[in-house]
Amino acid sequence: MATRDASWLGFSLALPLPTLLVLAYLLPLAGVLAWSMSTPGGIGFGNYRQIATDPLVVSILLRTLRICVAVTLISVAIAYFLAYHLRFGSPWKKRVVLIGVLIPFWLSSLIRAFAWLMILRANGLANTFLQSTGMIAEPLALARNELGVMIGMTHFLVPYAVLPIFSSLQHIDNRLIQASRSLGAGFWRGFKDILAPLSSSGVLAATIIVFIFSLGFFVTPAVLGGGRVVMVAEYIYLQMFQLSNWGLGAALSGILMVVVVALMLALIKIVGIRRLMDTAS
Amino acid sequence: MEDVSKRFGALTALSSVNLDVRQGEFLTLLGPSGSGKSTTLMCLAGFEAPSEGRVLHRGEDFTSLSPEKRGFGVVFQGYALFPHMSVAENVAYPLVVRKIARAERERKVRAMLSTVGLGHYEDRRIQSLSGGQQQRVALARALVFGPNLLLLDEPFSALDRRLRGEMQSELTRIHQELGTAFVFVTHDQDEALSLSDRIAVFNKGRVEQIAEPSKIYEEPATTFVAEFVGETNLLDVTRVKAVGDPNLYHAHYGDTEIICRGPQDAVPAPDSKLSVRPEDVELHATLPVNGTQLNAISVRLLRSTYFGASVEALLGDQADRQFRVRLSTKRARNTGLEDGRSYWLSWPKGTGYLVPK
Ligand SMILES: Nc1ncnc2c1ncn2[C@@H]1O[C@H](COP(=O)(O)OP(=O)(O)OP(=O)(O)O)[C@@H](O)[C@H]1O
Ligand SMILES: [Mg+2]
Repeated sequence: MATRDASWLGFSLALPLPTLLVLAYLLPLAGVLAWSMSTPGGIGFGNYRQIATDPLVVSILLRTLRICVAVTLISVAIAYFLAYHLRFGSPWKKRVVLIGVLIPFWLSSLIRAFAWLMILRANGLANTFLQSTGMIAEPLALARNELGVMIGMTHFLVPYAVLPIFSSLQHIDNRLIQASRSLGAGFWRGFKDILAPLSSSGVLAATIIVFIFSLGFFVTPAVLGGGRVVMVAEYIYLQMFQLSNWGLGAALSGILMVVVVALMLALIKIVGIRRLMDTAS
Repeated sequence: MEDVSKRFGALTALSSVNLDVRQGEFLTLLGPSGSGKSTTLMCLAGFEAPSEGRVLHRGEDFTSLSPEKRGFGVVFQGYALFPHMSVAENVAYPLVVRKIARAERERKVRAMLSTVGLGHYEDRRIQSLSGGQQQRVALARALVFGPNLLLLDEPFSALDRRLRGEMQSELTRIHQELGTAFVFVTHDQDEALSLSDRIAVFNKGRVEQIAEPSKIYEEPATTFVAEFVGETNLLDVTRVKAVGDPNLYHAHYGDTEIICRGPQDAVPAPDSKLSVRPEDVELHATLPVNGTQLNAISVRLLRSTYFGASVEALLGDQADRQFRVRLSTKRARNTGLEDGRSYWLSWPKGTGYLVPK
């Protein structure tokens, strides 16, 4: 009897956490999913049907996918380069990279988006500079289009990709690289045969993390896209708060969440929950 | 290596090191921690660029050649095996990089694995091997492409004593079988003495002496070498002068007259250090009778330490100078060791070596 009592005590002590999760997450979530079934014409899958068929919604989803895939690939490539120098560079290089990676964490995404707008817009820093050096005659279209959004998002996401890649590089003994070179492999050969396979889990983790983040981008596309590059998060916002089309917004949220959860599960499966925690800390 | 110096910022890791590795020899770099052995090896391998001096290989200047182009085998401390490859893939790697055809590659890998005693381990994962087996894989991988120089940085430091002994004799066998020149780094003097054709003793980034093991032990060029390799008693002797024999010298230790050996080429300074090895010294309860053959001084026993097969006695003379003597346990029992008692200490005339510097 004593053990039964003890296990009941343990159970009841652990109760607040699941209760909180149910109240704060699962219930509202169920509410959102319920909304997604309600259409102006009654209960049903109308919203989901609209998502699959409405050319506007489809084009926004495709644009989101296109931008997110491109941004993810570019961010991870840049992050690998930075993480490599953070791991193997001279102390001086390490310091520069570390500062460059950490400072953006302290700036809000809104400030960063506007800063990029100052640089990229038609009469911004970049165009003024290029025109004054005579390299271009007409200003380049760097902002208020997908390019501007991608630049802003990449800048935001690179630091998040650096950390998991750096962590996986950190686990690689420098002597493995030296060994490959002593055995006759040049830099790129050693990179391909030794460094790349041994850091692949970090790269994959970074890819998934950055992709998940990028799906939810809201401020950066709104500012740097100038209303012309609407991505799914902004579209959901428009549906729910500007057009009061709650059903469609909720259905899009639901789909987005399923995608994110699936990617999270893949991430945990690839990297292992323990490594993920290590990487995060 | 010619006049190689290496500085890391303000720290001088190597100063004017000259080293000449001969065809097929087993050269050991011996020295205390931080003396520059690994740095020397890394300069040879090409992972560190000398701040000054040159690295030459068969007359060719290798100083700024990248490691992958030198074609030297390297066995790293901790083995540095590729964890995502099997044993055979590890060993085959240098051949794959060199684009050796598959059939020949497999033949060479198999032959090399059997040379290092890992005949049936081709498909094993690296993680499933013991330390000694990993060591063998590392050796096989560094040798399979037929380098004419193999560099080894403390390859046995992670192994326990028994395995260490086993791997040492394996290494000697492989060295003889292949005829490749080995440059081997260690801070273990026994390992250096028993394995090497020649030893280079390092101290504070300098080479103190390069010679055969017996010469290093019996004719140390500096007091550092005398004290670092084996144990010794360094006696301050005065009035050193040559006697007719080119090898023999006459000197005084306090008032006691001593006959000892010394360098052949250069006469040591009148005030020098005499190195007397503990195993050459005998302890007597009374003044030894055949005194004309011996250098003898009177001492008191301070303490003795038991080592199983032998006993080490610490003795002091009137001037408070200390001596270390190693006696067989049997001998010690016959003499009867008693702290505080007076003894005579002797070593044969013509043993003990005058250290030039
Ligand atoms: N990359 C480096 N940067 C700065 N200092 C270094 C570097 N490598 C070696 N040193 C310094 O150079 C000196 C010689 O080092 P080295 O590694 O050659 O010694 P070692 O004889 O191999 O010693 P050990 O037996 O401890 O391996 C040491 O004082 C070491 O701290
Ligand atoms: Mg070392």
